[in-house]
Amino acid sequence: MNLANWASNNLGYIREQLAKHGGILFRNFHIDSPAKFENFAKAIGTELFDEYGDLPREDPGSKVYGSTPYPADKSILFHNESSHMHRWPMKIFFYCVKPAEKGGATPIIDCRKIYNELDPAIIKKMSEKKLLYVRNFVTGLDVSWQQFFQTSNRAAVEAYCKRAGIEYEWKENDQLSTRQLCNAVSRHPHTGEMLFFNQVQLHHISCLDASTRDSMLAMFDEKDLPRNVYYGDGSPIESSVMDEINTLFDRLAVRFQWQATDVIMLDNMMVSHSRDPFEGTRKIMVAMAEIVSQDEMPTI
Amino acid sequence: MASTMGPKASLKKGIQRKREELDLSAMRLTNESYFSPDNTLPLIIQPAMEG
Repeated sequence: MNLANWASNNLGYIREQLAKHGGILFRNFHIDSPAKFENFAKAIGTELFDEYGDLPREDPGSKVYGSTPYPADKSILFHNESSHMHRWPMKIFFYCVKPAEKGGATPIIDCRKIYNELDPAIIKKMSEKKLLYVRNFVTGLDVSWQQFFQTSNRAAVEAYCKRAGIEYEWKENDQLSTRQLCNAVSRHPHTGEMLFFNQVQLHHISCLDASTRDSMLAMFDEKDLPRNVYYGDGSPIESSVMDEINTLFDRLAVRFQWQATDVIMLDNMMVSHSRDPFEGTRKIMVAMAEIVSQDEMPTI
Repeated sequence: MASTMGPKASLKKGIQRKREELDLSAMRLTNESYFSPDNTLPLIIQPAMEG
């Protein structure tokens, strides 16, 4: 059974189910090549996004990316893709070429549940203050600014930042610091549901494992950390708030074991994702579609 | 009493008989399920038949 053809003939049904569940796992359709994965994603997602600087491109000609290159023994914490930016994909697809020998799940959480179950006082404060994402592009750590912005031309970076509402500052040794104010909660543009839509766990220094956090704080002043997040006014997000968020995420997370040829499609606003540590080799590919911008979002 | 209809007439009658309508919506090409009845994320869609 050809999944791309089936999807083309059942778009209404797929959209309806995605709006209801937030994520659909397509299993046993024998998607056995990146080209078939890309065709399927195109069949559902219309135009695929091919200007993403945070992930390595699988092949120069394709619109499919490798997953985040991060040490296998570490977790990648929960995030909605690009929710720390001025625009993001509405749909994100993951394709399992090869599951890890051990671990390596892609846990997911329904962001409607987070919004509804988190302490309303936290939601209110984050909603009012918003979130300030601070990023310091440090050579050799994380992606470089050249990779992220896909140019080595400083003027082009500055023009992008101005368009995207990003504050920027060039520093010594060709380093770049950026600060971007984003909403912490959003209203889904199609269903109208309220969502905890952000990257607060991925960016907050307290959420790193102890050894990584200690290493980072030994190397950098807090203001120079590669990634961090604050309330929108620059004040720190309290540890008690992060503890409550982390506890809720742990309780709501859904884990499943990847099988080779699996494809999962997520509504990127409705569902947050992460990556568990793993052993052995693991190959997951990513495609993103239907880019929307903050300006297009309904009022909260 | 045995039918007196010849083979040609029988064939013609067969062709003229109204074809039975095939309800494609009733032919399920996929199955849906969940990992747990308590959690409907993700919806799992699989082919109904192998191959």
